[in-house]
Amino acid sequence: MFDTLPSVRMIAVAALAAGLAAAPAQAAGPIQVSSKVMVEKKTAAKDGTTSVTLAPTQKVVPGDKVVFVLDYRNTGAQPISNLVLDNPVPQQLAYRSPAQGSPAPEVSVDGKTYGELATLRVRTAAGGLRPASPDDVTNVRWRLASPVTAGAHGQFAFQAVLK
Amino acid sequence: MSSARTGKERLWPLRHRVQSSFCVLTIAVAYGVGLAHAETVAGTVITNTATASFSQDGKDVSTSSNPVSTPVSERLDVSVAALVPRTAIDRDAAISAVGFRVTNTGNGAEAFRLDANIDQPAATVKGFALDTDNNGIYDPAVDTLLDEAVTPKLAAGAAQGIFVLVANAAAAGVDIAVSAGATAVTGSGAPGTVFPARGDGGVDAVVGKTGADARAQALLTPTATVPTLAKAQSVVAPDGSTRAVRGATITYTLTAHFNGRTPGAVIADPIPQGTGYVAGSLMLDGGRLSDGADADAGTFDGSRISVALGDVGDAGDHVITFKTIIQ
Repeated sequence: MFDTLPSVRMIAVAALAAGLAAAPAQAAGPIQVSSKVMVEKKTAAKDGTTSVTLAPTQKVVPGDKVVFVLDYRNTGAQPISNLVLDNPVPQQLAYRSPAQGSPAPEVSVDGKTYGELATLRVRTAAGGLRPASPDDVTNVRWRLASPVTAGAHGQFAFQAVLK
Repeated sequence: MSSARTGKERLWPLRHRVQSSFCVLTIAVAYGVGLAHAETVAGTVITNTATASFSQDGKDVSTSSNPVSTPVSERLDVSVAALVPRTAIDRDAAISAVGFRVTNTGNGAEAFRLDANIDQPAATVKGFALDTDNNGIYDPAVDTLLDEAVTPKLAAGAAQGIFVLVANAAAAGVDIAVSAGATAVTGSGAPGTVFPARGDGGVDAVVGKTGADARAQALLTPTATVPTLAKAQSVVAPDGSTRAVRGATITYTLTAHFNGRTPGAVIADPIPQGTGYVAGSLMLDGGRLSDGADADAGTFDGSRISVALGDVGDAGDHVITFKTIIQ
């Protein structure tokens, strides 16, 4: 709940500003991003193997592994450059890893500095620094190196565990 | 006529030994409230929104994804543990209380239905009480009786002490195994069983690994408070008087009082200096005992008498008498 408050407030402020400045309403833009939260579902096959599939979340309880999926699509007519997708990790979740088949995201433990987890440090209560662990991750992001052509789309995903 | 003196001040020459095969401890227990890592509580709504930023026509633009809201379901789990493995039966109390700790290991507020059973038909389970002051000791004046065998709602991670109240515990005369169970009121069963919309705030409730049903066992143990031993003596002089003169016979009477089952009881008494044991005078409960170390319980080893009562089964008195002559 807490996580949602700042963004709700931001939207309210943006709408107010738009009204005052009489600026055109924010268009959906050429980039559409959709977010899905899925749970891993394990199914035992007759041959003794277990297959893992993703299903939309019906129920999550602490300890469940969930997968956040981001789909993007360029709905415009022009290529889009410098596309960055950023996903703050909800505070009730602990980041684990990129989802299977997804490129690894850059991660951040403060929402400002991004990089590989192994390169990040966290300040301790004693004033020192320690290596960051997946539990420390506050944001993940993907930066696309090449422009997204008109009509192109793609998907990124990461795994987390409900605390 | 003979004079008789009875009293504790006469116990100094007496040694008694009561062996006990167990000891009973009463331990005050503080209950931990809350788990080390607080879990996300049932009903919390997790919202995820991603942001895309990009360049368009030389300007930085950003746009948000749809927010996805995921309510956290309630996981039903419970654990039960005995406060102490053994509780002594209080013979003076009508009720013996056996303490357990019920911990809500789920992530929602949950009440638990209690049940208890015992393995001795002589005793009966009379009900349950809450350890209201959480001190691990049953106090009828403080600890609330539960009209129905259901705990109040416990917050996620919280623990509550409860007592199983057992009547006629002493009548059994042996250890009583008391088993206490707690079952989530919302529902229990195979892990993964779903109770739609029955969780906190209307979310689904899901049975966790414990099956939302747990139990533990503790023993109610008959124990004697320390047996008491009283010693009396009477003197008869050769002239028929009660004067303690040379040649007078002293009859000692040892009365051992047991409050209940007492294993391995032995009573021994040294012969006072200046007196001589009268051979063959040792008696137990009116029956004569031989002085030799043989099949019967009594012995005289030249300096003291000893009577091995063995395992005393019931509360009651045993009376030992012997005679000495003043030299």
